[in-house]
Amino acid sequence: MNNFELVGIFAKASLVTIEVALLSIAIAFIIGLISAIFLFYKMPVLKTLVTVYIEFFRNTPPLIQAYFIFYGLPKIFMTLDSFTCSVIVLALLGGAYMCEAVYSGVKAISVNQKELAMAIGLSRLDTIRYLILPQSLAISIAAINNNAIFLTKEVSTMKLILLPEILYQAFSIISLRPDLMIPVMVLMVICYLVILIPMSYVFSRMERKIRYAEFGY
Amino acid sequence: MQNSGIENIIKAFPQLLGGISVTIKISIIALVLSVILGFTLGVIMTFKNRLLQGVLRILLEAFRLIHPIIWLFIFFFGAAYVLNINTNDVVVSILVFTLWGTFETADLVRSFITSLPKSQYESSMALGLSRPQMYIFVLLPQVVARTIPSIVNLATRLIKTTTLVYLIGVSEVLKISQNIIQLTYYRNPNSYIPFTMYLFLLIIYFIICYPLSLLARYLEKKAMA
Repeated sequence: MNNFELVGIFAKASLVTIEVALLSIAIAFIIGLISAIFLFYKMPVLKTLVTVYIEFFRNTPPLIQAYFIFYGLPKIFMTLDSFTCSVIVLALLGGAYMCEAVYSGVKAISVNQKELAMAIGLSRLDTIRYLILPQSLAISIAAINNNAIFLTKEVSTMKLILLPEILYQAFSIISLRPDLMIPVMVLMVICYLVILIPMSYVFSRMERKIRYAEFGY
Repeated sequence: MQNSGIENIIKAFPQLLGGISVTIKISIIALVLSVILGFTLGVIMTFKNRLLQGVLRILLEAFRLIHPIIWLFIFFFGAAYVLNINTNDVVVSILVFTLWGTFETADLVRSFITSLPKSQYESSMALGLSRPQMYIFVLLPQVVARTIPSIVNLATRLIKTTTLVYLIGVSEVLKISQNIIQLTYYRNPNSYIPFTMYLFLLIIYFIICYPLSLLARYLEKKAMA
């Protein structure tokens, strides 16, 4: 195995990491948004369900959540492959964090505005779309970005449920060829930095842009 | 219900408790060390030395951007290979989590100290306090009160993240529960033990972490008021 092949393996593994991260961030954001709206409108049963969901996922280790879904569920429900399972775990985990982030923005909207929207006859969907979302996202964008980076980092935990991402490949190469220890470690760290540094740069640019567009605060 | 495996969990409860205590022990040692070191480092980070600040900034970002699981891997296998020593799994996990917690706390302390009004610094100078006196009697007491909620939060995160030491073979609760699952499977292939066992672990962690996060939230509210 030469260095060129090594780079190829890691490039492929990075793609897996990016794919899982993007998918789970997108789903987590949708889950977070919907549950934040449930909390905002204080929907009777849904509100309790959302609270239980958030507390449960925030207060248990992601690794054990992954084990539960990957090894625990097949016995009583169905078998999932490691890719689907990773996306599900990270999306649910991220959803709990995203809800908190979005809700902190939604909370900042005054009750007056909600009543005004009702008074001018906006439907609930329109209120959410034109009133709540633009304002709350501007406030919570920093927290949402932090959660996105957190989720991307957390993909490496999914090594333990056999997702062929960067850490998994590093492990399997080293177990076959211990002499490649140093190039593998260096490549692994480079892969993570190549994914995460541009991400945090783009996010901080985005935050500045959105903060700039925000008005009234 | 005879396949649920609950009786095996009950039978193995002492071993599972032992596993949890390993996790908690690692987190507590790492927490205490990282609070002490973090405060020291946070104070150092406020010094106006360009080189020192640059180096610490890079280290901080490295520990922020790269997941502890990667550091565990690098420290455990990499150090053993490069330095040609036998790395002890518990020592390595304490080391990694201490470093992680130290940088998290240090950044908090640094940001709180720099957010304090400059007049405090100037008035302590005018009162004739030396620099160590200024830090000990004026700046740090305010910082301590404000960082406590974040430190409680860090404790929860440490307990949750410590499950990852399973990767380098520490015999903590996840590893022990896997042994139990294997044994049960060997005797009874129809058992639902993986489901019950992992659910049990989730509940255990929830029972440990939930009060801590409630405490953190309460302290935060109190600090805000």
